Amino acid sequence: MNINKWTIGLAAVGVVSLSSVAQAQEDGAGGAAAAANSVQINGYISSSYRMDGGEDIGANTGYSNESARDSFSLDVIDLQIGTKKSTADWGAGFMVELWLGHQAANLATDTDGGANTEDLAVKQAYIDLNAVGGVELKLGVFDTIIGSEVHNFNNNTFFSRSWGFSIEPTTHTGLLASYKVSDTIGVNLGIANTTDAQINGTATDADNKTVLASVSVQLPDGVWPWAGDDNPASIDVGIVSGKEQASDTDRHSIWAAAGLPLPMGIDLGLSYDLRKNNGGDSSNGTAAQNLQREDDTVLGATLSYDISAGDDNGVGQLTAAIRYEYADIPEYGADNLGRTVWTSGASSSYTGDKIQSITVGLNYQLSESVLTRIEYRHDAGDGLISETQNTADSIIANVIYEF
Amino acid sequence: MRFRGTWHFACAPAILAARVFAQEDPGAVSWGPAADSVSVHGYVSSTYQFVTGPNAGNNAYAFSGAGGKATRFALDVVSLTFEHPLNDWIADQGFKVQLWVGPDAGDLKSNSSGNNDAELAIRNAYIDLRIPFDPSELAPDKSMDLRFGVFDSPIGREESVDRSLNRHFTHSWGFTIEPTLHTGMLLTLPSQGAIEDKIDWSEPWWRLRLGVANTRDPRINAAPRNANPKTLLMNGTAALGESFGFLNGTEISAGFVYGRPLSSSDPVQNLYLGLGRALGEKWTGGLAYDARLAHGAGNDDSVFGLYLGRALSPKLDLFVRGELFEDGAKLFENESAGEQSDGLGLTVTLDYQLWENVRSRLEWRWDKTDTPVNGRHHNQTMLANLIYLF
Repeated sequence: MNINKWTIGLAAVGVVSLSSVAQAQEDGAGGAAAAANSVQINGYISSSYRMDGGEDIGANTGYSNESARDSFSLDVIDLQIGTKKSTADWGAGFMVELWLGHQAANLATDTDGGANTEDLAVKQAYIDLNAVGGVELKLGVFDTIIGSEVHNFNNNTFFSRSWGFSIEPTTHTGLLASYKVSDTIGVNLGIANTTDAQINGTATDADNKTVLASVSVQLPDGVWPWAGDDNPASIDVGIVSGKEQASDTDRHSIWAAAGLPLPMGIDLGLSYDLRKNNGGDSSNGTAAQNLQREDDTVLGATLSYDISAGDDNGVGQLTAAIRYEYADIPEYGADNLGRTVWTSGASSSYTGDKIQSITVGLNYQLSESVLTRIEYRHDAGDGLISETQNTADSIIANVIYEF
Repeated sequence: MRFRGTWHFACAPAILAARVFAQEDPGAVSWGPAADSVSVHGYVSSTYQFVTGPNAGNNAYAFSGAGGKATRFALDVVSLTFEHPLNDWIADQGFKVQLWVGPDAGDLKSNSSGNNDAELAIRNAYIDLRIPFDPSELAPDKSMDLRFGVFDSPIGREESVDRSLNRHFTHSWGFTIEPTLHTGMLLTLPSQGAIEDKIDWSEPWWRLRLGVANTRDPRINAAPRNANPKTLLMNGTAALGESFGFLNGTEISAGFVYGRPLSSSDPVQNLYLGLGRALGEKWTGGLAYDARLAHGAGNDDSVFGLYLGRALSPKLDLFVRGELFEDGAKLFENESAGEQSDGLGLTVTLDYQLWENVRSRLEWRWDKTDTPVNGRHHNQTMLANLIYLF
């Protein structure tokens, strides 16, 4: 081990370790230097215009990441900085993903748990490790393991988020292990501080942790008649079970989904979301809008069809998609995103009961880097917006530049 | 549907293919005209802290997280550095911008608006100039470096704010009373050129640093109410040669900071003395003394530290830190008047390089105070830390 004198001096009084410095020095082009050479920066910029139908409804519909009404929006700038870890044993990598812009606050990851008004938020920040036996580990802040949609605008079929996404956890601080059992089966198992996104947050008793588990299965040949090698059928099941942030309230999120090819190139996606709320009091630890302690349930179905396949790089690909959801989410109206509860006389209506939602969209890959889309969304439910406003309609145009 | 993890099965209609790392071009970074000379590096740090019970743990030293990381997985910070370092021996220019993103960012207290809850903070941002003393006599040891902007305080055991550079994850009590960042100007006089990795280590070596800053506090661009009196920064470090007999091979360092904090018109002085040397092939040892002299009787803090290190194997190191401290005026962060207390501390760290580019450490820390701090005489923490360096 060849260590220069200055390093020894620094090492003697508190800075740097002998082996870590030696490793960095001896590697030369390896070690941190080599890692720096393989650092990649990716991301995207998303911008949109939303036009609301009919009279000004004056309030948000309430689904996650909802853009501003009748406005041009810079949705978000996403920056991803990281390295791909090698496939060798004990390989390591990292990922840092930041959101900048108006939607950054929607991640709700701010460690102070305040009003989440910052225009910069950490979306993910984890160390990616290979362990023994093919197990892959993530330590830090990472995306949740359940759900059919994600926060990133460029990774979803539709611009607007589903109601299913709206009731799911999104981000965790913890440790996640992933393992590929076979070519057709993969499992995830993890432990996190809470079910919520606040970085480093805990339940009231920090010893109570949240468990994450999911299984992905590619159906064997013949099980689904229209599945093929290049378009297999699959089933996913996952659960996130634990405590809410700064609370003793239990929260259990269960998700199941199926991807099923249909004839004529049509793809069918089915999803089921259940969020069980088991608070100790009648308000489930939030507010008195869910006196029956009902759970949140969302059923969804999505059909998509490639009208044009585009070239080898996907340029010119035109995809049509339609999404239908039935959402019974009384708890959602109590603790989310600006939706109000209204009372009429002696009775109260709970926003979120029995919502039906349909979204129709067209996605067009304008170039290798630019995705454009337009969609129409209609939501309907008793008291969806206000005592007299039961529906909401919008047309949204969206452009995303990926780099 | 989306399949979590690192494999993908069906491309379900709800999700488009992720483009993360989809680009095959390794030159994904595209910068301006100086692109090829700007390096990007940094680290991601994450920990899990175990404490012995509710409200336990050592939460009073600098950057401890104030109990906000106890009994949980924690993201500490993401550090991003963009720099073009000085390279030429005689004349050169360079810069460095280092940002902290994440929960620890606010601990820097560098936000120019005083918002220490922000998730983004400037850690360093400076311009470096290397200038010959005499253009008619150019030589590697005849140049000086000038630094302008926001930079690390030049005094101290050089226990860095960046834990990725330190032997221990937790900061020492000595570090806790030292200034960390300054906005100002710093002059460095090297004896053999300022490129550390090219210095001839067989020869004695010295470095002198002189600087002036707005204040001793880290808040960027801030100054005390009377901005005219500046803060003086001084540090001298030397590696002793054979003429010093048994001290041959010993490194000594002395530093002094004199200036006003933002909150007071009374100056505060920081004094630092340190020495270190290798003790055989596998051992290192060091001593350090810190003093913070504040206005008024009984307000002085002092810390004496002993450091030992041993390479147990090519990948495993053991580090031990012992400190004696005397608390005069808020040695501990957020302490009350009734908590001013002397005491001692012991930190033991095992550092094992299990993964490439990753520092992995297990650390145990014990602090004992004569007067209860956070309600306890004895505070213990055990933690596991991983830092990925890129």
